[in-house]
Amino acid sequence: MLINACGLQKIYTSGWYGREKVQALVEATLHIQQGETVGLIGRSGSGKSTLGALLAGLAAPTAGAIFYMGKPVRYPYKGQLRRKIQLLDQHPDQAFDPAYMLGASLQEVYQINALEFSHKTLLTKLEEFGLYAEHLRRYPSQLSGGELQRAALFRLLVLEPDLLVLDEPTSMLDVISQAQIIDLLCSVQRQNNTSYLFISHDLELVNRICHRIYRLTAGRIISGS
Amino acid sequence: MIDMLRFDTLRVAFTQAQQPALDDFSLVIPAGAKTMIIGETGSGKSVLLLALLRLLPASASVSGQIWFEGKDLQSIPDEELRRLRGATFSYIPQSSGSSLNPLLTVGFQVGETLIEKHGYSRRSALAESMRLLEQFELDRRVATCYPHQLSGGMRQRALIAMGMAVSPRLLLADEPTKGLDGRLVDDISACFCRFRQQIMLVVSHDLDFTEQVGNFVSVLYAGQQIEYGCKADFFTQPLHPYSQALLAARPRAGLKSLLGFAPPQSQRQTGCRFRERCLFRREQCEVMPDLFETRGRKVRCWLYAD
Repeated sequence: MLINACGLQKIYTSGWYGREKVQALVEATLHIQQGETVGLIGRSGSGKSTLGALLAGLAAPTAGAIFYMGKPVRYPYKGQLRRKIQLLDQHPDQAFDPAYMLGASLQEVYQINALEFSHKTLLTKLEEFGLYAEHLRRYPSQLSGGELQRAALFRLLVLEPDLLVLDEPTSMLDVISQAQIIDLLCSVQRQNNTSYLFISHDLELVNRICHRIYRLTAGRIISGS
Repeated sequence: MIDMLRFDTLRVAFTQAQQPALDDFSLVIPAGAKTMIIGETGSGKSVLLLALLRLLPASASVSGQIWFEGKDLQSIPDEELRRLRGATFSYIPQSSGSSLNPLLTVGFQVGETLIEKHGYSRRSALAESMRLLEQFELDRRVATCYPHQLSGGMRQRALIAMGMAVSPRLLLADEPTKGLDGRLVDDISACFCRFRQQIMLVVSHDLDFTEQVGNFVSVLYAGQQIEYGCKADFFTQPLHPYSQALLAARPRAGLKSLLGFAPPQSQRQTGCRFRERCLFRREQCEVMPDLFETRGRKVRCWLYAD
């Protein structure tokens, strides 16, 4: 078992002295096997993105536990765990530093993780994602949503993660780009046995690509099949 | 129907790119028509709306005309355009994450145009914005929240409420259903369908939404309009090979992926821009096809030259 989440709860607090509380997740239990694509569907505001963020280590649950390869995880994620679980956000425009050109943002991931970097290899790999040298010289505000999303996906795959939490990964894209990203994800999964948690509200799409589906309503997982 | 919005050979180029982001775009939109602009990301859809609103960055060079009710929007003074924006025109921008001001409550932002353009008091504008938010299934309490306290779908609905607040004569929307679940998309579609007198120019990659809301469909590819026609014809019998590929890539049609990517701006040379990915490619495609008229529709493909 790659990931096992038991009884996750998340309460957001805001206002003076944290008096206002919103329970985003009531009790969520799910598991993901290696090489599996698991769908997570639910209405807008049902807690899908919160659950994704907890699994990716961006926030700690208020209660409950997450086990990675059978061991309980600690927050914040560090070291290997930080690299092996990655999140692709539904808003790629927020995933990049607006002050950096795309090329610098992509190069940064190699530097931070001490990975071998070559400009020529980067360009060759990027072509598979429909990105070219001219895109590297642009700022995020000068790129379309689809171009940014493909760049964000590329940046995550550099780290060869075990689990990718895909939070509405194609909601910004047209149908052809969507089909291409799905093809790309399937081919990465075949090569690296990567697992995906595919968060979406598009039941038709989730039905087509996922092995199993969880349904989330008002912060509660009400079915898994 | 009277022509109310007309684009005449509109061309938008950015200084850093050698080729235009939008090229030779002409379109006539009659009163009350809902025109949907669809196409791949980076095809120039959003640039079209921003050119109309004159909100493109200073590095953009725009040529051609955009006529609205007899006025050329490219040449009217800034002050006059500012008066039109938010009162006569309404714009629902893309990306709810960065389009809302993080320091102001959602309720204030929804009602701000009512205060600025229609002389509402703060109190009455807030009451009206709560009513609008409720129309889009958002609790009244959302009006007192800041954008970061809402989910992506909730922010998107708040943006639509903001766009609808002033009952504009021209509604421009950039991906209004992005990030919304199916039932909410249906609600938004119903809301858009209620607009009968206004002109609507909607950029979307959601083909189901396009089918529900639009009267006419214009397809853009690599900065050019490649097909234009009424919705029913487009969805039953798309003409351009790219339009056919678009419909075949829908999940219900089997998620059939099209090989390759649209050419980047620097590689948009002569000839048909779709030819590298086209299954019907022929020698003639080395020359740029015109927008041919066929069966009451327009299509930029040599297959329809006769």
